[in-house]
Amino acid sequence: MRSTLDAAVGIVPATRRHVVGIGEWAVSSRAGDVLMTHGLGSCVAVCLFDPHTTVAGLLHFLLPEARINPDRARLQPAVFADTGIPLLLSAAAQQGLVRRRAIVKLVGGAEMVGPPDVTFNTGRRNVLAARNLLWRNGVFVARQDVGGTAARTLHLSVTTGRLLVFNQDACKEL
Amino acid sequence: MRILIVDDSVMMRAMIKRVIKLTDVPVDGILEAGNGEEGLAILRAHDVHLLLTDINMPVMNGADMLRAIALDERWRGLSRVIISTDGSTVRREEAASLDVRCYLEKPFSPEVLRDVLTSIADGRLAGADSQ
Amino acid sequence: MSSRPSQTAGWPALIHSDAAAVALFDAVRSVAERSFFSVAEPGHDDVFHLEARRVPQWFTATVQFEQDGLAGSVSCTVPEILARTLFDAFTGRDPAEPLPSTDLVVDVVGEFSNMVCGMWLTRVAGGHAFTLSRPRVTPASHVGETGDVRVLAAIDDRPVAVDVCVRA
Repeated sequence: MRSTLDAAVGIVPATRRHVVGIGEWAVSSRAGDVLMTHGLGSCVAVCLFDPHTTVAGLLHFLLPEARINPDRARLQPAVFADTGIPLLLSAAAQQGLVRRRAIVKLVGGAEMVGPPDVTFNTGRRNVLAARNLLWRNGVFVARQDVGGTAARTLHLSVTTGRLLVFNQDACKEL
Repeated sequence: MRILIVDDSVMMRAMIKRVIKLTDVPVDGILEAGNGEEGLAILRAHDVHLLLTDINMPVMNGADMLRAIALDERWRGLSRVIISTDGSTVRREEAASLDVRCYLEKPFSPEVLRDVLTSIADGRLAGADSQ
Repeated sequence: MSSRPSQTAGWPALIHSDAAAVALFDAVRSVAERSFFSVAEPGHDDVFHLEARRVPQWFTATVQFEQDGLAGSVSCTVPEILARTLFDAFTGRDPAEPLPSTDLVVDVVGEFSNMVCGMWLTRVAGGHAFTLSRPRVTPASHVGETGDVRVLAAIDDRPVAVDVCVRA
């Protein structure tokens, strides 16, 4: 199974996988690298790719705003959209990503099942927070695969910018 | 490409300007007007290639301005886009009869406006290449 | 202008229908999300009034509309603090930039109301064109009288009231 998925995303034995967890981010300009993240429920992944310099970035954030927990934001800014997105853009710029050229995609923001009669709309809030922050930072969103009720996994190729999204049993290129 | 934005909201014009500046279309000037009458005055004084206009405005609304433009040969090559909250069938049909290339309903995301600008710019460039 | 009497004749009844109220909330949500990247959720009476008591300053933005001889207004009443949030979201203002002047914030609130009114009318007025006045925005210390139709919402967890008034 894994070798089939690896082949689909272009992973060969020498490839480095960077697994990005909740509240983490990664940037790479190394050909052959793959950035990936799992368990995107209400969280949102912000995926960047500059096709000229082949720099890719991935942020997996949990909540929209740092003000609800400033202490945590100081320790782990990537947990929140408003501290994580500027961090990702800045780190990617240092490796040569140019915002004007960046292809940006959003994945996740599902509404996970919770207690009856309780709807926090966390997934939707996260998607809107991401769009808000990207607009603030002068970046357009090219594509998005958001909403629904199931968790997603994604693989982003640093070489090609190809983004594969796995949702339940389906796999699609975004 | 020189662009004229006509809308009675200062901040709507500012938002549109921001999208234009962030989009990769060649722009050599962005002009602004607060109503149709001001818009026509600017068109008479400047060489404008793309008009982005609201409909509901004081003094002279966008539909009256577009009717005046349609009657004047010198603006035959002007690309016209409506950006309005009015998405009624009547307005859309009226727009089609006034050579409006695109009817963008408010509210819109920045990306939607970017796509309109890019497609118009590509069309203009393609037109230039074919001459 | 073409006449569609059945559509226009249905107006007074339509205004008071559940469908019109649903369309009004849908317009609020669409405007909030698409142009202001803000979550809009239905407001509940008791929660709304509890939250509203905590708001020291509001803006009410009113747009007059006319359509085939029928006239009225749509008013959006929002807390001043939400108005500033909406400004930042709409313009992409960075918090590090200087604070905007009140008249620019008022312009954005007016545009918010303009979009809600226009989107709602496009939905319920079925194909007919309409004219809208320039929004009139006034500060207020509390939420005003309920209109012929009132929809309560929470935008970014702040209480918002939207009222439609129809003039005979």
